[in-house]
Amino acid sequence: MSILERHFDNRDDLVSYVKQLAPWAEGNASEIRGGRLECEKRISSLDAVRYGKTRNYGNGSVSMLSPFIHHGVITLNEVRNYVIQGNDSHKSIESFIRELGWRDFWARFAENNEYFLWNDVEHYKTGYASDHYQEKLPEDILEGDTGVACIDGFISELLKTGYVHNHARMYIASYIVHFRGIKWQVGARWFLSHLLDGDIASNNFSWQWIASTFSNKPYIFNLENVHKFFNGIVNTTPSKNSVLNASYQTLQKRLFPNLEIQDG
Amino acid sequence: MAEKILLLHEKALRYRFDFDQTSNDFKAIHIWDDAYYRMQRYSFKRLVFIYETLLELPLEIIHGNTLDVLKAQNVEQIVIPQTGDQALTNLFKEIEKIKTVQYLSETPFVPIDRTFQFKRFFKYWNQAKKTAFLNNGNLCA
Repeated sequence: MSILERHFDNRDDLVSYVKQLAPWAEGNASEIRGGRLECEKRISSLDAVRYGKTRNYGNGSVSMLSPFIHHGVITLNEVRNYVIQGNDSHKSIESFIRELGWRDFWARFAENNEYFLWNDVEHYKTGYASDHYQEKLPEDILEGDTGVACIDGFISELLKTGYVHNHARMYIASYIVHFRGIKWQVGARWFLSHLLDGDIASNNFSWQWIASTFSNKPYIFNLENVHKFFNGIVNTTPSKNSVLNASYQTLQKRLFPNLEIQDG
Repeated sequence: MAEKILLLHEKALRYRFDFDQTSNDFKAIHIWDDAYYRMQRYSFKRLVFIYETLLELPLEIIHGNTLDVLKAQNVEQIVIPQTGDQALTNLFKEIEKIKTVQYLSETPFVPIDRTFQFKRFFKYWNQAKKTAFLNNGNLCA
């Protein structure tokens, strides 16, 4: 038992100190800094109206507050109170407030359903039973070397910073579960270990939403969608992303051959 | 000498609570519990983020096993911000066996009974949106 240091000359010294405390922890420090001051910087630059219009884009006006909310630096209530000040129109900020609601919804569901944090809430709606899916994450995914350029770009960001845009998280999760046939639990555990905002309820139930074990259908995406939202941020060249370069109808048929093809 | 300890765990890294923090009868601590962090399988990135956040808080960072550290403190009451996190909740139950624990509740996002079960988000949101746009969720905080 000992009292730990609180004063460091610079961030490098802090990082070295934490390395001594936790030599078992993998990876390097993120460029994303912790602390209430950093959190306040983010909230003061938050544009909840613009968030509603641009949040699905890789360069959209997202708050990046989730690591701070997860670690209790700021509460959902504080964030909401800040956002509603000076925004008289509910409609203009509804997307942002609803996103806070998702976090509250997942937390409430987890409190009442701890078992489902790691078990399927419902069966897969993919035409496959859960035992169809693999239990291990392959090395190429762990290292961000899948050969699918945009996915590798997103994984690289995850490993480097511990933060990935929510839309990109959906792409990665869908790729792992539906394109690679891996159990959502395996991907969810991997995300939790890397994300600065890794929240077991939000993370695991979101993976289940993608997998279709907590939603009415599996979430899939194609290259056209990635190009629309992340062009210039990750490599969306067709030849480097060939597995994704297809229509939704083609992908639906390829990924879920046991299901009847559904239009749209 | 402090009579209470405010235990700021890794899901409550702030210093604003509904609790008299002006008196001198308490001290705030964070316990850097290696076994706990290893169990969480946190990456180095996350540990640095947590430590960096701790440095802005007026507290003592104590390295050790949570229960051993608390046993060694010459105080009877431990004040803990509530969390829905299961691993921490289990740890708090162990703390209750050795100390008197007072939990600090957080102003909820919306005033809906937490035991009420919503199976789909839209059902939750139909209720939640009635107060989600109001200061403190229409509650007095």
